[in-house]
Amino acid sequence: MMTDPAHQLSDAEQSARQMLHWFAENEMRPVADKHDREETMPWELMEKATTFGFGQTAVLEGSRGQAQEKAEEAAEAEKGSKGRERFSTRISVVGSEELAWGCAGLTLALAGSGLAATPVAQMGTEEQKQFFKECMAGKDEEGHIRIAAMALSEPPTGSDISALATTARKDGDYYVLNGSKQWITNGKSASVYVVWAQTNKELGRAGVRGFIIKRGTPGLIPGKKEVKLGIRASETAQVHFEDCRVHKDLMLGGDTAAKQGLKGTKAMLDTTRPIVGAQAIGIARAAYEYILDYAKETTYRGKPLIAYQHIAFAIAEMAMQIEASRSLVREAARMSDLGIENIALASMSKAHAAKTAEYVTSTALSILGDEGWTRKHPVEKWYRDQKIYDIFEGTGQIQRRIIARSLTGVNAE
Amino acid sequence: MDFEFNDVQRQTVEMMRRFADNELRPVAHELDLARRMDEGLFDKARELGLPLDAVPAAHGGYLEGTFSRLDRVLRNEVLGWGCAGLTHQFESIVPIALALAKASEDGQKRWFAEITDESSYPRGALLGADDPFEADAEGDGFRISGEQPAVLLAPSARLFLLSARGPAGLIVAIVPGGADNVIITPVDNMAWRACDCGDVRLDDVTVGSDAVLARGDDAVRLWNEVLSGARLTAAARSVGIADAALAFAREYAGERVQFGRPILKFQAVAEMLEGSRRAVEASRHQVRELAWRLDRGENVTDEVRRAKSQAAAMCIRATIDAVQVLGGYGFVSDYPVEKYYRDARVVQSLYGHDMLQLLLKTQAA
Repeated sequence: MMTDPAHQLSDAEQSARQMLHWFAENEMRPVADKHDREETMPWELMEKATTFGFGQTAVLEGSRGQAQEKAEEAAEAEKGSKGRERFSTRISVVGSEELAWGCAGLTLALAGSGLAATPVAQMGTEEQKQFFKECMAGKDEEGHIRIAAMALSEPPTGSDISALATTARKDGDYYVLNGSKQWITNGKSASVYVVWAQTNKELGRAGVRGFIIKRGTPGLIPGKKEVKLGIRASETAQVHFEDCRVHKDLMLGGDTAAKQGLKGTKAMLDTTRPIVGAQAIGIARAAYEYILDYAKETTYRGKPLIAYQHIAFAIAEMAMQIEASRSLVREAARMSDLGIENIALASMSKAHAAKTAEYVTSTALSILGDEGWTRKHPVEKWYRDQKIYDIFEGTGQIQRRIIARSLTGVNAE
Repeated sequence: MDFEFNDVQRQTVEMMRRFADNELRPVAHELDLARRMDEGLFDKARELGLPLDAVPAAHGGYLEGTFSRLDRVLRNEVLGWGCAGLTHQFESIVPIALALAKASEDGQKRWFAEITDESSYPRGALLGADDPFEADAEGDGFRISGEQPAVLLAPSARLFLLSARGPAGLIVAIVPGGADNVIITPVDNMAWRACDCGDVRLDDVTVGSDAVLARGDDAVRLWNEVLSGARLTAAARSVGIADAALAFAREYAGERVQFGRPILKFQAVAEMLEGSRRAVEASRHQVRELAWRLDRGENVTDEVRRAKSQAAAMCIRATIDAVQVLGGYGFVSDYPVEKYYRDARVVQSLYGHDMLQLLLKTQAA
């Protein structure tokens, strides 16, 4: 038997895991196919999710949701008052695996606003936090709960963030934004955007600043929604800026705090990479469990598939890869929680998990035979969903570059 | 052995490439998204002689002399480069048309007429490639039962060609798509979406002797030949899909600048493309050689099984890597690569599933 995902979890992590697994199984799985097929946002699910720690502005409220709170209470009981800090990334890793096991696309839809709220929580002034919350209050014009978008990537920038081309030119009390953003989660439907733009090219990365921009601001133009291979429940769109005037008070951290540039987001990746890796593991585990059942129940020439070594060894390999990936993300998360330098391990954990998801879903698809590439089984969806995990949050190649550099000190080309 | 194309091959490949480039590529994406076929393409395919060039002139087709498997493989490569799913629409009847050479005179008359009937474009499917159906003798014909999931083009198939286990060994028989007790349940396929797809169930379907093309050892020989020919064209389409994915990724990598240089100038990217190139060339030549050997009358059943499996795996890897090279652009439908990623998955189960074939082969060894 494969190691229980609850193996070696603290009571706190275990309680978060149970709750999120329940949510994934009972709320996400039943609607996963529908939102993938229709390529629609899961508005109902997002409303339900607010009670599970996915309130759209949870990061700002200081309210971290039932799951997180319960976990932290238990952690505090176990470890004393230090529990709160020590467990946050690990809990996210444990929880992310469960949610993505439910559906990776839905997981990303639930997390989309959090991407925008996080830099506001970390770098915003009190007034800015307040403004952001006001933008998120009530319902939008479609009657949906309001969501937010973080707009960083651009057509020319992919792996290379320093190539950012959207500009913010100062004009009196305003900044005037021009440029186009791409791959923006919630980019079409957001009620408020956190937009990164270059204020001073000479400063390079440090000149890149964040702006909070409310939907409806003249010059903010939500663009085309992408039709995607996978994670189709999560909206991805372009956003354009044409002489979009934003008051200087809405520049994250305020007009003067020159240090508050993009640098902060890079450090964040050492925390988010294990979490993203954990999502890839969730997809892999879903496919593994599905194909294990299938191979037990399906016979070929009088024998269950599982009795053929070819199949049995493939399943053994899947389990091996999942176990290894899970150990990596949990260790990278633990280091992050303890404040130990984890840059290489964070990258390893994400890159390894992506490869695990590719191997497991691809092999499971093959085992399904003629029906593999049909909607009769969810495996084809998982095969489509998983591919993005070797691409976003730093491609597999970027991760290897980081790992190699941290091992060798050399920038290999 | 001559590796050079002859004039006919050169002209055919050139003609098919133009067709793929001008007619298939511009609509492949839209038809995939809409999950439908464009009937107008059938007229254009007919103008090229498809599929009647696989039907003997004596029966209303254009085939004079012997059919060349090698020529067929060459054109499937370029058509597959255009769109593998659309190619399947045009080519699905070909293995059946070739097998009809074994039918009785009455049988040939009847079944070739089904293929040459122009009221709709003739499509077909093979059944029983993994496991033969069951046949019970009835009069001088049979009653056939069995099922096969997710058969491409089953809902629109005019003819099925199947193998079935009868009381006196294997038989190979024709079943019309519209015959009584042929039950088709549509299935939503996520690749080669221009083709419809369905679960097929035959529930005591009666076929007369004119539908039985071969029995016993003859049937085993015929079925192996049918499958080998069909598998090679499928493998050739894998080569075509990989060619298309690789060419697109290669061009993109030459233009996409990151960290001050085209990403092709980074070894990790160049290596992925180089690996795909190595594998696709190996498959291309393996498939062509086996087609040439099949044309010479050799029994290459095992070799073809391996070659198809190899080509399918090669194509899956090449398309995963092509998406990777394009990054986010590989993941959206504005670019053709995400379609190649899906399309690559079909060939491993087409005309017999590679994995099940392997299970059987290695169990028997």
